[in-house]
Amino acid sequence: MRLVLIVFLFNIISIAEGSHLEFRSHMPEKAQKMLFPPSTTEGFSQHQDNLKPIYGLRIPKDTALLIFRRLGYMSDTLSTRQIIEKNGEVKLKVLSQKMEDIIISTGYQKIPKYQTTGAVDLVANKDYERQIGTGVLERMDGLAAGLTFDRRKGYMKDLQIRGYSTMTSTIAKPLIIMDNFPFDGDIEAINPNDIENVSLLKDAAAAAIWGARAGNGVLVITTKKGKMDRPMAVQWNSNVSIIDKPDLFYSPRVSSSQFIDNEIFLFEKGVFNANLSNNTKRPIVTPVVELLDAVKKGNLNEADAIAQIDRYRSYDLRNDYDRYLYRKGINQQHYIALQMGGQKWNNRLAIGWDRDVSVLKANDQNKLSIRTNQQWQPSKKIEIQMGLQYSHALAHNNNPGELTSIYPYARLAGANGSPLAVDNLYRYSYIDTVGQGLLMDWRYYPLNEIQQRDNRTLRRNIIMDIGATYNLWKGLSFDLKYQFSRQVGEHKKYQSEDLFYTRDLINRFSVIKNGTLTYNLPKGGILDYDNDESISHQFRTQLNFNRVLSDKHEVQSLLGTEWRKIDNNAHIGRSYGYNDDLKLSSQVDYVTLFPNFDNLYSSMSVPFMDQYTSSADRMVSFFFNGGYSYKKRYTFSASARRDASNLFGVNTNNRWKPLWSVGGKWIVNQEDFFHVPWMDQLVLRTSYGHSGNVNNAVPAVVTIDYNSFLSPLARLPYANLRNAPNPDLRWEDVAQWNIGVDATFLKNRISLTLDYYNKTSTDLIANEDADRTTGFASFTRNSGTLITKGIDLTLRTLIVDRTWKWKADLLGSFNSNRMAVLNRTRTSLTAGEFFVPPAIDYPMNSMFSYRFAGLNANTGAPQGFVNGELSEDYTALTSTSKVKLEDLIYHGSVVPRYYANLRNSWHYKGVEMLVNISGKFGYVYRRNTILYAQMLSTGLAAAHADYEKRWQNPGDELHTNIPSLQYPALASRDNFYRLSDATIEPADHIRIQDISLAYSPVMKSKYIKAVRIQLFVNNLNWIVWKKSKNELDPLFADNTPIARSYTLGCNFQF
Amino acid sequence: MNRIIILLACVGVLGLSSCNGFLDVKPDSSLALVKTVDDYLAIVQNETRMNANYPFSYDYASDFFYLSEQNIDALDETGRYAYLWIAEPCHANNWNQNYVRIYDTNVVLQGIDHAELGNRTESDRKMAKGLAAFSKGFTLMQLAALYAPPYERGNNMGKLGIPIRPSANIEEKSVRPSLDDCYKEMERLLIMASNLLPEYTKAKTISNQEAAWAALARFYLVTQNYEKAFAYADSCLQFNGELIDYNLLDPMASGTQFPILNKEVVFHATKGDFSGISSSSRAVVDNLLYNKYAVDDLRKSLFYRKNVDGVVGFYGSYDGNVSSAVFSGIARDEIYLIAAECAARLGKLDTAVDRINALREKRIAKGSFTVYNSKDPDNVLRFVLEERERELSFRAGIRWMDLRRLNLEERFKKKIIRSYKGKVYTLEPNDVRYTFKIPDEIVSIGKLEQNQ
Repeated sequence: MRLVLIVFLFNIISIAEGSHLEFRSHMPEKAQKMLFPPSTTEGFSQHQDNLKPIYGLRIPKDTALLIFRRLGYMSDTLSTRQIIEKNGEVKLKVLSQKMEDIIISTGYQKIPKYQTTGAVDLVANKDYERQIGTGVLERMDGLAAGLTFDRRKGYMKDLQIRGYSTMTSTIAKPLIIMDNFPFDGDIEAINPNDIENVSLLKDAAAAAIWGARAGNGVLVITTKKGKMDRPMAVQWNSNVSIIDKPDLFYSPRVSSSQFIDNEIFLFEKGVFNANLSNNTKRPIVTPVVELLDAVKKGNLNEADAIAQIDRYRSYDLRNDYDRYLYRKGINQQHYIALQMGGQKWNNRLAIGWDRDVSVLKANDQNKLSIRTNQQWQPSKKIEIQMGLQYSHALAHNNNPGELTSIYPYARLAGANGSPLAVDNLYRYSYIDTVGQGLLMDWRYYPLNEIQQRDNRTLRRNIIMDIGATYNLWKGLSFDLKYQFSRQVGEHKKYQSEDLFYTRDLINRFSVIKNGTLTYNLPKGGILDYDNDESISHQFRTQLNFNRVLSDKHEVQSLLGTEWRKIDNNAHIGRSYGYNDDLKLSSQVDYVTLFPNFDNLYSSMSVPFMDQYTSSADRMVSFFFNGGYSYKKRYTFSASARRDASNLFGVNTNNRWKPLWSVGGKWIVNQEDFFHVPWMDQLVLRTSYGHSGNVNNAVPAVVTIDYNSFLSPLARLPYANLRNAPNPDLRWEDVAQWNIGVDATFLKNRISLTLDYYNKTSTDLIANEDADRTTGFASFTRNSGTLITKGIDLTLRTLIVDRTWKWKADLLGSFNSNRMAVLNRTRTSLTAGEFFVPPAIDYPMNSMFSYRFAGLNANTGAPQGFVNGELSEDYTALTSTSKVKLEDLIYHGSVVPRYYANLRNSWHYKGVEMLVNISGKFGYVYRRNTILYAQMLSTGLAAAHADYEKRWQNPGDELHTNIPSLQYPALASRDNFYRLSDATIEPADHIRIQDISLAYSPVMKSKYIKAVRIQLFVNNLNWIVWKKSKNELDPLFADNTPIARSYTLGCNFQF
Repeated sequence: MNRIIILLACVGVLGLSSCNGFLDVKPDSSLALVKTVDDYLAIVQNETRMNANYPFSYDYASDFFYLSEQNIDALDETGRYAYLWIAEPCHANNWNQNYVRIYDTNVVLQGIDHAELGNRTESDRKMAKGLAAFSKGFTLMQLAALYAPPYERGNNMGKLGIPIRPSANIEEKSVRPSLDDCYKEMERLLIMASNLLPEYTKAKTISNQEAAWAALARFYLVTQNYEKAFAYADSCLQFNGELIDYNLLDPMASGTQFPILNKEVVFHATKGDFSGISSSSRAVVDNLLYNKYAVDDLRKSLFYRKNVDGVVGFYGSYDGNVSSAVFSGIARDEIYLIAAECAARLGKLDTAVDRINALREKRIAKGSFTVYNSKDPDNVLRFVLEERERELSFRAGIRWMDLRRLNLEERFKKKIIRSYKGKVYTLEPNDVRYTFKIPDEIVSIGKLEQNQ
């Protein structure tokens, strides 16, 4: 028979063949787990000399071989004779990336990967730390198959595991667990340096233990902890990044000169007449139009006007933005951690300080985070853990950003850099004279605003954990865990009299009568403040039973209850006539309706802001999870869970949601018949189960929403009816089936994990078509079913293993979905929804277009098909009731269906280079184009540069699709073209986004144990290949790409 | 010891089952069930939903103004369709926003009888119900002027009204009742409101009995029931006949002379305006209409101002807004005119002349005012109708309702004409285009019958 010793590293003290083995382990006593088959533990003895305990055991006579095995190490089989030859010293080799050494944390238990039946990925610390970025989640990009970021909103906060499982964007995110409890706070408050590793629970068997909130997968973040029996160790990290300014010229638009030509054209057509003659609201009139008007009225000589206009032609506001609004950003991250562990306790303390100086001038953030963990084992039976985390972040946001409603030839500063006024809200020729010199300056100087704004947000978070484990009896233990967290945000926006908003409001509430001025709104600044607070309590009791019953049976199970209570409160308020030095505010009459100055607006009372809101989240859960392994070859698991939350007005039947999962696993390589020399490991797994999504924001009964203010005219309380009744509201359900294989080849040089999954999400809350006559545009109900299929692939290879090493990790994923049930007919191509128009039998994020039939050869007008005939009847071509789904062209998904990420790393003598090549395939995007209706109106935005490529003369239709200019413009003509297939681009591309170079010299110093210096270049935006011929970067489409950043980092360990 | 702990653990794990109270907490503090009379009142006191966004497209199609070619160009398409009487559905918001109001009022009408009284009284319950009935009836009347064919007394066979949504049940299908049934429902609602509403309310956004009577007067005028229209108009004027004396207003003052909720307003409401057509700087008063004001008519200088480009715009809206005419409620001058018109039609010439003089006295410059008198019923009626144009043209929907109504009488038939880009557009009396098309998506999803 075989004897299995699971010991780290040990010295054999004496061995007598066939009789008795004595050994001493070099493992710290507490961390040591020794598993002996029961038959061998008979006669097991233990005594202590002055060093470490010595263990001894009797070996059955017929035993010739001993197998030494330890998690994280290569196993070794030795005969007793061989052991004697080695002078009794057996050392196991460290194993890299093998399934058995991976410990997965599910938030409820920590189990070795071989005992899980689910699809689980672990992002190890060394991979996580090689990523740069201040965000905890950002660093996950490209580290796990099936984890993707939806970048349609231009930032990387929307991440999904295995695609979308819900149609409600607010809940379309994985559940994040920090150590033991769901984390609902601001993830940015966590310092990424505090993170040890991240487990991704992807399928039902893995995630179902989290039940009703696990429908979108689960990310379990494990933070760094101290360890027992360790001398003091110090780690110090510093990173400094320099971030480029964004490329403001990325999005193509016409030049200032063309914009001015268009203004001259429109002026001649009389488009500005209404604005020029408007003597009530006095809308902005651009300088060119003012000049043209002056010439027309004979107040200005034409040559002078032309000279002035020609000067305007050379200005481009984007240059001013680049110069005065932006700068190079500098981010710094500094981190120091200290840890030590004794026999009965350990302790870790970490302090982080981040300073982000944004690319937007006058915006920055400072963040301090402190984290400490203690573990205490007063006796063998009891273990107590405590944790405390505090973070403090102060952000200034004083940059107004790029201005809206401004003409493209405006200037922010004069030749000497002095701030210039730009037109805002009212016509300058009006405000310059109307105040008779009595009003406050009514002009808007954006650069002054940047310098004088005071807009700050302070966020403070505290999280306190306490937990105890009591070992009751042979593998039976009892856990109690409690977490308290409090997040407080204080936002303050002080707008002094020097700022436009304040001056404008004071002016509007001013009255000039007989040459004297009265203020109905006190002079002085305006202080807006809002405070929010979120307090959560989470409490769990759990009974665990983990035991090896004989050498054949292993059981891991748990049973528990969880309570969760979160209360959020917020208050928004405002003070007028505020003096920031004296901290004084003035009394204001909020009741009287005051006339607006010169009737620019209708009479109004002083805007009153004082609003309190609160929300609450309650959840109760019961859960069970059990796993059983037989001979370490066959593992079965099952979980069951019941959740309830405070869904509003729901029948009790629908309030509770029972969920379950089952899974199985076969470790083929443990079988006796398994003899494949080039294959080290082969594992087959499968699982099926249900998890859920909860959306507390949708009530089941008709509710009203009281307004915090009185009605403006009658001054009475009032409310809005806010939803249609929905008595059948219930939880969304995600059923998932997964089959997977894990294999390693050629002595672990190649490892492969492949999973296929099939998810059916039912009862999805979706908008249903409503007859508008009911008073509703749509009904929000559990009415959708989405079927998702996908494949996740992880292939890790060590290609070259000599003095230089080349490792390549390929992550690939495929994800495709289809709406199987949806009570909605397509209403509009631009539904304005995040999940762009879903139609039955098409993917949730589908792109459809009108069918473009080329340009009219005589007029350059875009053409489509109505009833199979060429048509320019744009109403019929775009009317929601006339255009049917079959008239549209389906292009595919707007989110990538295939992802591939190849992470190459080369090592040579302490130098390491890392290049991340990523590809996204199987999706499309729609690019912007010229909108004549917008261009040929009094609007101020510069038109899209497609204008230059428009059809102008017959024959142009052969080389352009861009319609001719038509005056007056037809919005539906623009819309037809914009939403036709002519503006669709394939988004498939391969890019190199990040590169890093690191150096870790061999340290001979007594004090410094390790040093690592690293240089990163992020957001290279280097496109290796793309399918579209368009110049736009498919990852960002028409949004300005994230700018490149350079980071220098160092890491010391003492 | 161990056993105690095992026991405790089991209790801890399993003993947390009584938690329904814990789960009954509201997820959002602003969420409230509609339970008490206060809650129902809060629904009908919502000014955004009860007093704003009344229909507007009829004013695009009426004859009291015109647009310059540039301003027609600048219109969006639906605005252009309405302005040039192109038989395409115009802005869906006419329908959508007004049926939101009808849903709100249905919730109140359905639940108010069983609402908890709280610290309110039964008269508050009556008021809430009356307000809902008023809003629903008034809204249906305005909507019918757009989407239902003109009501012709005694000759409505085969004509379809607009959906009346009898309950708040959203599962119920929308149907178009007969035109008669539709108007009967409006009548029922407005009479119910007049019986429930108090004499006085806190503000003119909250309709009172007078407002219900005034709405009934308008309703009976539209349905050509002149006896009842006269009776309700007369009740109103006996209750309160106060008018603004335009002699006391200053035409040179900047801003508006007619503040919001002024004393002539009986019920305050505003219409939606999506293509900006009602803007004072765009809509130019029709020349014929402008010429109907005598030199000493104070309205000429108080209602109209010359814009910078030389054309004349309307600045006399009764909602305190100078830049656009969006008042869509009822003011007392209209009641005088209804009383006068009905009296003239009913042969009560003295009363008719008396009412019209009472109004004109406050509109014509002191000193130049002369008492109008005539014994010829046709003359009196024509004079009243002309006065009606001078007084009410820019009030939402009134002119359109008048055109639809008066075209039924041979003597008042009017063809209206517009031109755009050299093309002449005409709207013949009783043209099918006097009934707007229902928005496409309503027809397709609600499966309603479209107008011709």
